[in-house]
Amino acid sequence: MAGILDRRIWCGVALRTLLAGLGAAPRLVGRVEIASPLSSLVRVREGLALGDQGLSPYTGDAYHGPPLALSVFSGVARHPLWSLAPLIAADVASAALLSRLAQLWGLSPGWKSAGVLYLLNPLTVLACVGGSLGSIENLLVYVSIYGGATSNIPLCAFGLAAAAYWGLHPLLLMLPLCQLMYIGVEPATVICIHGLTGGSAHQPAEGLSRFSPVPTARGREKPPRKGWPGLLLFLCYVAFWIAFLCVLSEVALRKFKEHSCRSWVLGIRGSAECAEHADDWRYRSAAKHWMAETYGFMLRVEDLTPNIGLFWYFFTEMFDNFRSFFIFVFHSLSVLFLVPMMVRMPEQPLVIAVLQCIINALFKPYPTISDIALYMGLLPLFPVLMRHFQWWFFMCNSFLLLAVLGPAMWHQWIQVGSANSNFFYSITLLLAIWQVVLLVMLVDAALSKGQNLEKESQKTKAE
Amino acid sequence: MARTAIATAFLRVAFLALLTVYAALGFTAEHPKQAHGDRERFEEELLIKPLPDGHVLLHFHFTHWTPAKKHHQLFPRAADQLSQALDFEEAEVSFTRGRWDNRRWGDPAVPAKPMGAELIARFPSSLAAPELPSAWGNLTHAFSGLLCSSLNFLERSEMVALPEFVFKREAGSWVHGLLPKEAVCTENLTPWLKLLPCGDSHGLAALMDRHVLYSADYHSLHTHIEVTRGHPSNGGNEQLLTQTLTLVVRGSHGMSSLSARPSNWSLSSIMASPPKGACAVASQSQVYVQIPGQLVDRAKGVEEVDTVPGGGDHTFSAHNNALYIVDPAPNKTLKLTTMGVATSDAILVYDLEVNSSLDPAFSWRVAGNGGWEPRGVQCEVHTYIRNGQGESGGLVVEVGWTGAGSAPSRPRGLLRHELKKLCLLQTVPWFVRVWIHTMRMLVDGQDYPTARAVYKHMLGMSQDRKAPAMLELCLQVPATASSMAITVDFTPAFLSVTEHPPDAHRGFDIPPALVTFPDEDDSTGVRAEDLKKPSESIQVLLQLLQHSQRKYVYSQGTLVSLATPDFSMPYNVCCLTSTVLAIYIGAMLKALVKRTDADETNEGREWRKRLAGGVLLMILMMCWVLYMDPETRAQLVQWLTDVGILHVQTN
Repeated sequence: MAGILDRRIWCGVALRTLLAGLGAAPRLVGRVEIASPLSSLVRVREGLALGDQGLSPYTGDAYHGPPLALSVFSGVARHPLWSLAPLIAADVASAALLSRLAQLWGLSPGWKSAGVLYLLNPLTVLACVGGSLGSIENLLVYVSIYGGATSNIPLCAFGLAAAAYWGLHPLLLMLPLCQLMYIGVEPATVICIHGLTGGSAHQPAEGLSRFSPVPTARGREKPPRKGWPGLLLFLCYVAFWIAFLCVLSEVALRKFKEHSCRSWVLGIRGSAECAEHADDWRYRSAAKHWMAETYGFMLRVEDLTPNIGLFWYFFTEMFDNFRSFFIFVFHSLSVLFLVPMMVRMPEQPLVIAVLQCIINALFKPYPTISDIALYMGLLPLFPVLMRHFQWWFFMCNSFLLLAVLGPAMWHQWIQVGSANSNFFYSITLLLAIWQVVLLVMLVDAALSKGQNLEKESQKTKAE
Repeated sequence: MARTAIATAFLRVAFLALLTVYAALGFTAEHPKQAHGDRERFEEELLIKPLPDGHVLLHFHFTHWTPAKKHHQLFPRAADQLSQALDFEEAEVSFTRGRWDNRRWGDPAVPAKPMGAELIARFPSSLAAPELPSAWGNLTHAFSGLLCSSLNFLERSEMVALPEFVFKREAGSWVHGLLPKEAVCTENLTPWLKLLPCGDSHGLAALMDRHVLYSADYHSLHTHIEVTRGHPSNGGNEQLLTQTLTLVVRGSHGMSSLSARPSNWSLSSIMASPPKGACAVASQSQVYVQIPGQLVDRAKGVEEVDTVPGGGDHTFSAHNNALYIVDPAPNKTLKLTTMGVATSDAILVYDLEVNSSLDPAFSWRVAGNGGWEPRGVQCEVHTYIRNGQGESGGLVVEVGWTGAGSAPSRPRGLLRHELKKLCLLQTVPWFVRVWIHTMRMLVDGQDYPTARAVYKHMLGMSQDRKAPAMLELCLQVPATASSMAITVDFTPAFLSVTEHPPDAHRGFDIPPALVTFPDEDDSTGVRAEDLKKPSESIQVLLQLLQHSQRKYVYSQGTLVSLATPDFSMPYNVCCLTSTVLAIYIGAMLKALVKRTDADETNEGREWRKRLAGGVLLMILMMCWVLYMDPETRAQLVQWLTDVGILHVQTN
């Protein structure tokens, strides 16, 4: 397994390097499908260049990523090839984590290549070569899911905190992960993964026994709940990691005076030197805390550059009076079904996590193809869902069609100038519908799986 | 009706009487101080200069000066009120139509301004930084009221730059704003003329025929106020107000401007009417005709060829020679000295007070214009967009020294290691996102390290909908370089429907770049101190000509086209996107609440819960009804009292 993966990993790395070496990066780096204002490598470079000038990276509206992303790229951002190294490393690590998860969950060999599927997914390749920071966010999400699946609470909490720090929306995965911690990892895994493995449900999963000392994974009797201690420990760890990352960011920004003046941690806000600049017109651009410039910027939806999401055209056309109302409505939709899903599928937190990833991709203000790659990478780990899923042919073909039409419409609108914005908008609208359909089918599949599970357990009881 | 008229008339008379008494009191009170040096001054001057392509430059120059005192006889009250109400030290506003054409007209005799409206202000360094925006806002509104313009749009910080180095004459907080799209029309001129003591009824301003003014190839209306703040006890501020109008008009009407045929012109043929005498209150009314040095040299050459060698002591006359004649003969002729270097330019000085029906006429004595070619300009600046179509492009600011050999700037031979310095200010609106890390510099087409060239800089980063990007670079490049370019990549932003101007497909203006030269003498030419000496007659315009004309060099602005949304779509987009949201919510709800077989099997033990839930819901609903409806509440209380559960004291 490892050997195969190794060879394919090299294949994936070589593919990315080759594309970048052939000069694809400068063409891809400005693509709206790949680079959002939050995740573009151009903006990272700009932020670093501003830092070199002694200006804060958050001066003006150039950079909106988290402060530590600058530290990740600080040495390599200028170089066209080396700047991709952190992203390639992140992709490889993601693939390794996915493979390891498949191995742990004892999936049948057909599904074991989840990691390779992720690594060779064209979306991932393009996002990586195009310098989208989404690759790193995906890795952090996978880390948290991997930590959850191996009941490694600190690792899971770290993955969640770091992913939320990086892109805010993964914070919504906290509820399913809390649920996972509450009901215990093993029963959840068993139900999510092995709930409907047909004949194999009767045998103890071989992969699972590797990490659980007592083979409780029978899938029929309800295992003891892990309960509150695990959940509280998880929450504490999440709080700790978030605080840790915030302090680290403050430290990274310490050298810029306008930030140290507004730091909550470094505590020199009230000094006379800072008061002098507090209301200065000249320093107006630096008058915000970095969180307002990253998460605040994301939530306020100020940048109307087109992307593959739903926000941009709606707020381009929306009347100013109703802007704030609709921003609230749009953001609330990403949270709307989280609790209902948890109520309806209390035994399947991992499935809910995947579904929430799809919802995030739908309702992020600045989504990129990395967000689609994120849930595409996770789906092969849930063979049960996949078996229940119908319309494979239709879904695959329609996605291919959208993937061709999107760039074509963009080209018609922006480069050629023979179309208008509605052409590209229609494609983003269809992509949203495509994702809604996928989401609803998966919910159906998950629920019918649960139903079958119940039936099965009743059957066993009757026996 | 009649009563109102009488009342108004009475009020007017009373007001006038009051004013007279007040003025008389003021004069008598000030009379002892009204010695020399305390006198207001007003001067009017006109410069006429023929240009190589047959056009003629006309530059009207009006100077007002007042010492610190409360009441003014000449100084315009509007300007005085402005400077008293607002805390600025210097403000300069210009309205320009047309573009100074370097290639055809050579270097401008007075600094050429960019198209549209420009407002530059200097606030005292003592002004606290938080007050700067409001001070600037007030100034924009005051000027837009004074000159009937839309300068108040500059109040928004998204158009305004705060340069540090390009304006270096005086210390203070400089603020620079440009409105490239501002239309310039007579409604700006009329209030401007009202500032003059004689208006346009007498003096040089009487020449200003509106048809000529607004059909000119280049038209620049300029107002400059400089305030020296005095102590309030001294009675006010010392103020210097300069009003200029620069025109480039065809020498003779009906002739193609591009034809090489010479044009003979006279002031009356250009301006449709001769002057109507001097303005009575002006301390001097002068008209200058500047004969460019090239023409003088050429005329000398022609005369030397014509005259027989040794044929008597013939003196060269700058107004009447073998090449051309200027009629009538000037009161005196001067040689122009620019920045301490003598040039061959001749200035013919006419005094309007001596000759009130003055009509200087210029005519050629030869066919053709004697081979007079436009001399290369010393320095020109261009801003342009490279690869503007699509999702990214490059902004280029190019400085070229085409006439590198011209005299005043090159007093001595150049060495290789010598450097020339310039400061460049380029403001870029926020919707053109420039990436500083892509900034490159080319000298003579070759890459040149930016770090070596930039010796001081100030970068203002753009903020969406709030602040423009400001690149202010002071550069030093090898003195031998003939061109230099700064390129920076940008990404156009996308605006919302409401942010687009009415004509969105016209493109969006990128304001012109401004280049100044820190090495060169940058004084305005006229000091207020000079004007204090009443005995001397200061020819302000002549002094100005003796200084560098390269104070400011602007590029022409450029346009960038942004991708526009469909303006007719708001409701459609609302409906379509909302449909997708509805599908999402509806389908998810349906999927989540769909009852599966497993739910059916659980129904047996669920009915108690359901019943409890139903009862709870009914109780909640009843509570709500009671809370909302006072009548029901009263009925309930009544009923409870009747039953005997409640005991309400009724009186």
